[in-house]
Amino acid sequence: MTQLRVDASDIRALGAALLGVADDLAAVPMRAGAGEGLPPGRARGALDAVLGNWLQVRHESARAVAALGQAAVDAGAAYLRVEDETVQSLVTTKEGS
Amino acid sequence: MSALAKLPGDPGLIHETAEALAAAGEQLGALTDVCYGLREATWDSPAGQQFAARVAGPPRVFSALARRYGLAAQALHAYADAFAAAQARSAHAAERFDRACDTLAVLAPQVGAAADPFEGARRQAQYAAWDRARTDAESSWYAALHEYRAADARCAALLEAASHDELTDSWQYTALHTAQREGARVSAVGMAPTPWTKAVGAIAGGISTAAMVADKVIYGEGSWRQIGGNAALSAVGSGGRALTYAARAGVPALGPAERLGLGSRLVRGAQAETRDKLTAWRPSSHVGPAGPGVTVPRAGRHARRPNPLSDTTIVRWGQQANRRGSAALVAGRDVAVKTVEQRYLVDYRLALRAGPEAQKLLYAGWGVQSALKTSEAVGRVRAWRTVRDDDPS
Repeated sequence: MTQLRVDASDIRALGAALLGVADDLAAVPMRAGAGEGLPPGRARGALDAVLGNWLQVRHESARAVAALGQAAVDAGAAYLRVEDETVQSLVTTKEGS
Repeated sequence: MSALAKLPGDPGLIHETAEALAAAGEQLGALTDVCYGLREATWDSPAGQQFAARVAGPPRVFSALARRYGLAAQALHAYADAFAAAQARSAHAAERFDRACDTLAVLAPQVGAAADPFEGARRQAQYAAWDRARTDAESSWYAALHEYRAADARCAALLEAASHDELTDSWQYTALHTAQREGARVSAVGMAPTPWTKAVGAIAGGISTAAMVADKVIYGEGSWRQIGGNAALSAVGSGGRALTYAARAGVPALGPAERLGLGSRLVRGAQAETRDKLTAWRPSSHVGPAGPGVTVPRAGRHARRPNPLSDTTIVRWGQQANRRGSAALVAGRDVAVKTVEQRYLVDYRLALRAGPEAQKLLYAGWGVQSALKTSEAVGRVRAWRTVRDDDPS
């Protein structure tokens, strides 16, 4: 099995990417406008359904992805802080000895 | 000005929309792979394992969306091609039609004005040829219109098929959002400065706010702050009842149901709910029950109210009791059936006859009523009615 080593900055970057996805989900256009070039007809209404009839899942997913993203950002930052503090404490111990 | 014109629309933009959807579908597909990778990976930390456990819902949604967008992109590309052909044909036909009409306008006074019989016959033949050209152009334009409509129907069928999947909102959810939107729209009736329209406007505003409450209670969407800030607070308790009135508006116990738009239904629902509140204000025959021989207008602010429930025949079901069963069980079941009938089935049957929009309103009404009860039970609505905003969201 392939093994990947993921460091703290990767986790934080993953979190930022997931937060971006959550924003995208919240901003998905819900209706076909005149900009889509469709003439008036059934297809325009049907495109509205494709774009907009998943409001509930969209809200839930945006919330879930945002929570995951925030968790990853927090975890990444925490790992980095712990690493920094560990390095600092080692440096301090070495200088003091 | 020509009677025929090029069909409106832009096939290039339709292709662009299709490409945007296809690109979004591909991105979502890639994201699905990433999410599945995160979920399936063996994590070497407890936090990572917890994180992976929570990456369960999103990839399912992304995958379904990728499929949906991919199908929509295919349908739109095919539609754009067919529409481009129909549009070009319509433009060409409209041009030919214009030219034939202009020429015929010039030729018409000349036909019969020629002194020479040979010249007269020649002009007659020329006129007839241009008349045929006009007819041909017209036929070609209508053929283009037919092609467009067929392409539109094909595309709509494909898009409708693509939009029915696990992502599709439930009826009740759609109904609540419809009630919010339309209730807010109908509440504008209250802008008119009469007690009657103000009362209807307040009830309609209450419908919208009540639907927001239900949305918050059932689905956790929106915020109590937003709901608490709504001006139609006092009518919220009426909102659910007004929705069920609206659902059965225009459906007599016997006879055909009236065709009513969503706005008219909500106005009638608000009127029915308002009726008891306006007994002190009846300056004209516009408001009040119809007497013998009085014709009640059916639209606008003079719309007839829905028939009261007492006029409706309740058809019992489940009355064929199992006589071998115990009397107590039968009695208990009858009571339960009657309760369900009185509470739900009569409304449901009337709404079924009134059509899909009425059914949506009824579902919204039920959702609102149950949500308000739930909220009352936990004290949130009571707290919020006193405009104590306990939710910072």
